[in-house]
Amino acid sequence: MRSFRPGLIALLLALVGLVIQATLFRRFDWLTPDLVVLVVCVAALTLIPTIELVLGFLAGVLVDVSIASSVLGLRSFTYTVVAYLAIRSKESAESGFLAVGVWVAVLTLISVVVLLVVGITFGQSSELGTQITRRLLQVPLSNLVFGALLAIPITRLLQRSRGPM
Amino acid sequence: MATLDRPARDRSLPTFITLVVLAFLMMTVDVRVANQGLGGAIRSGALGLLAPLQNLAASVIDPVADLGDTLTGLATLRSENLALRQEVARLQAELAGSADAAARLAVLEQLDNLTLLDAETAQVAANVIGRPDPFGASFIIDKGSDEGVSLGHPVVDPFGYVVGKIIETSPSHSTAVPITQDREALTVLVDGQVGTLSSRFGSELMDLEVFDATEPLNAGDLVVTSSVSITFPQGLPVGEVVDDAELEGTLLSASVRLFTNPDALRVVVVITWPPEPGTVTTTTATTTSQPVTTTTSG
Repeated sequence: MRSFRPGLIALLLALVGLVIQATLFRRFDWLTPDLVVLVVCVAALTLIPTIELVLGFLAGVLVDVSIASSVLGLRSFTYTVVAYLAIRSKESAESGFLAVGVWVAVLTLISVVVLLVVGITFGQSSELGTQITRRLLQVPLSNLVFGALLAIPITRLLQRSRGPM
Repeated sequence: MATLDRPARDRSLPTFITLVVLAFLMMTVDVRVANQGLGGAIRSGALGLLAPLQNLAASVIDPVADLGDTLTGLATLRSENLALRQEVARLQAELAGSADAAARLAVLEQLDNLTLLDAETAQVAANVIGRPDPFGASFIIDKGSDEGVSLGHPVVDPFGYVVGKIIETSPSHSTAVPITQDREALTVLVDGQVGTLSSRFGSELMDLEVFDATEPLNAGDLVVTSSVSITFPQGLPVGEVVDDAELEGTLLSASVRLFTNPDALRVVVVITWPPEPGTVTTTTATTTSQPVTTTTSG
């Protein structure tokens, strides 16, 4: 049970991220982070790989069901891919907070591209927004900033939630 | 940053493949059933759970953000005030000029014995409380089926410009999708010709196509909802034609810019249309008396 606790907390953080980006960041046209992807990426630094993958999948389900116009499974697929890539590349993020920011930004860009390609494949092109070109840059750049700022607190929270080893 | 992975056998690849296959299955099933059945029930339940959280967060965040907006906007308020005064003067002059047109319209309506929806009883004002996707523009409003909002109801902005339609409802909240992101085309009327307006990938503009066109279109031509539309009541303003469009045989293609910006909406109005039989009040104009209020039966 102890090994699941960080995963549950990460899922809770993803939910909080979803609520914040739906309420606070909808007001800013120039700052559009994808906080759910950010949590999925940063959690890879702490979680057991299988739990990290399940976190990516469930976080995707969470976003899918909250966006009524989205096809169920689109974000689940995207965030699972991001979680897998995060597990495979997490060494790149271990040299400081700036490196984490860049790493999160690159993974976010990959998530956007995967979302775009799979979304178009499943006939979701009209639901991917009217400013997709701008968002292709904006979302990763916003996540770069927030990744650099939030990676250490999130990592510490997840480590602490695991309790003494 | 140290990782806490256990030195156990790495099962991430089989887990990854399983989850990816599961996600693909979910997508396939959801596309096939088109948001009906279990998928629709899950979404409706999730909306019921998430929307109150978003409502709570919005009630905390919005006043603080509004204060910030007010403080940053003080510098421009004076010039905006002056511009608004000029606009009010212009509109008052326009209103005075339209009084004659309104009187003529009243006579014509009487002559035609028109039956009109009573706008006062067929509208639900709602706050936009959440926009969960940084890419999409679908949004959550704080009114649901308890207030009479149902699937497919048209959504307009406070000025009456078309925004979109309701695609999900719970008792207290609903989700709306703007027409710029709707997979279904909208039937519209432009310059007396019926056409279809469909979303354009990655653009704020929409594609207008008129298949039985008889006249070319000019930039600025008004696009309104058509009486043929089964989604919107007729006559709602949608947008305007961006550039002149010439006939290609009987086909006419043009770009249309919406009057409203769905990304910036804070308040919307849901039109409870089409009316439930026997429940909506209508205003009927007759040729012999003032407009009277009646209730449709059955």
